[in-house]
Amino acid sequence: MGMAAKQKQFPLDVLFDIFSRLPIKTLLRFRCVSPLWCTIIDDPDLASTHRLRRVEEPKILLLEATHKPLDLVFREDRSGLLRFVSGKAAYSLEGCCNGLLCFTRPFWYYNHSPLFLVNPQRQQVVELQRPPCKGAPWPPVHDTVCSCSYGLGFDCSTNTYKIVGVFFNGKNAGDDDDDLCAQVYTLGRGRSSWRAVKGPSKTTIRNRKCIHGRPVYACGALHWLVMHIHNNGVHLQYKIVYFDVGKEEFGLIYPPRFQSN
Amino acid sequence: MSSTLCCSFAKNVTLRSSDGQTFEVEEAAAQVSQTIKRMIEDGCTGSVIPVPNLTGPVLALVIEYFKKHSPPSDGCPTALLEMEIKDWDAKFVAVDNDTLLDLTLAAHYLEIQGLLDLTCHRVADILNDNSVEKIREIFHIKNDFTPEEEAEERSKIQWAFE
Repeated sequence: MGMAAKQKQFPLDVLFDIFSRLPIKTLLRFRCVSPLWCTIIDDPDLASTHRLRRVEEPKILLLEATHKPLDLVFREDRSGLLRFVSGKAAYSLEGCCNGLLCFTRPFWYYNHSPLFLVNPQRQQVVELQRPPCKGAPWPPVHDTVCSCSYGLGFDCSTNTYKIVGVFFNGKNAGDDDDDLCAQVYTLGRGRSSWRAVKGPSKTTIRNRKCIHGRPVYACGALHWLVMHIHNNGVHLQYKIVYFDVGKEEFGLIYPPRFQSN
Repeated sequence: MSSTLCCSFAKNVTLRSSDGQTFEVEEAAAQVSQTIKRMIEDGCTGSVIPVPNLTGPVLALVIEYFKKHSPPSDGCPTALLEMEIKDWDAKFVAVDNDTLLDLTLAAHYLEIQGLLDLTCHRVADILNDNSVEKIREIFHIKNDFTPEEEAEERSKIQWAFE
């Protein structure tokens, strides 16, 4: 008999190495093997090593809206196509990063509606309270994305995910002197709460502005396209506001100028 | 020139397993293991190098791996040689579960990255095809969950068992 049979416990880093080569569905099954295995499988470091190994074949996720009042249902068909079904327009995708998704309920009163973090591969949904926001309009405005937007980013220096919410903290939504501010929530390492971070300086972002679409996570930063409406009300300008997820700092990128007639 | 060649050719080390078996192997081949390489650099070459974590049969297998993976004497390995080694590797880890786990632990202890990758990959393949109960058997794991706890864990991720 060799040493494995005698040995009660396999070295943790070897188990970690083996687990990083297994598909997620198998790993979830193996959470039942023992409490120790469960702990290793839930380790955020395993998730990032696993991602780097590219064990999972890329899957297409369909966001499907139905007329029935369904609530966050996953369906995986034989071809491996994963469907994420929700009631009609009940959830609005805010951001995504490394296969994690962040949703809000756009037509709910702001302070009553949580954020929904979804891990389609684990088929797991976590609800999270939104940061306190004084300026939340009631009744909720249709284009809520203009007054607040959430992004999901990965900080590779700490191996953690961060949710970044940006808001126009004006007295009224769309005020000329409103200020872009941000709140950050760190996921995965114990208890956390929303923290206010310094927004981009007022001199770079001024006049009426509006966030366009969802943020894009790339190169360690979240990028929002922001439209500026200058005081004369005619002149429009686009800028990209980025947020470095590791440093937690805002910055500005000017898109190239296009000549138009 | 000829004397250096002769000298490097003849340079062997002796490894001793936990159960006292000794094996002679070329120094260059044994240095596939980072652990043994460090011991040689620290001047253990004159005497026998103890490998207390490995039994004789496992050490014999590891030495086979050393010989196959020792750096080729004539420089760059050819594509043909690489393919042949790949085939050899696949056959090398096609062993019973206990031996495979022994080889995995040996690769870990002796810091043989290539063998560790090979064995971990093979273990993962075996695990993927087996039930929770069978996994406990393979790894000699005592189930520390109470039946209630296990049932709760299972119910949380029922879809993964389907």
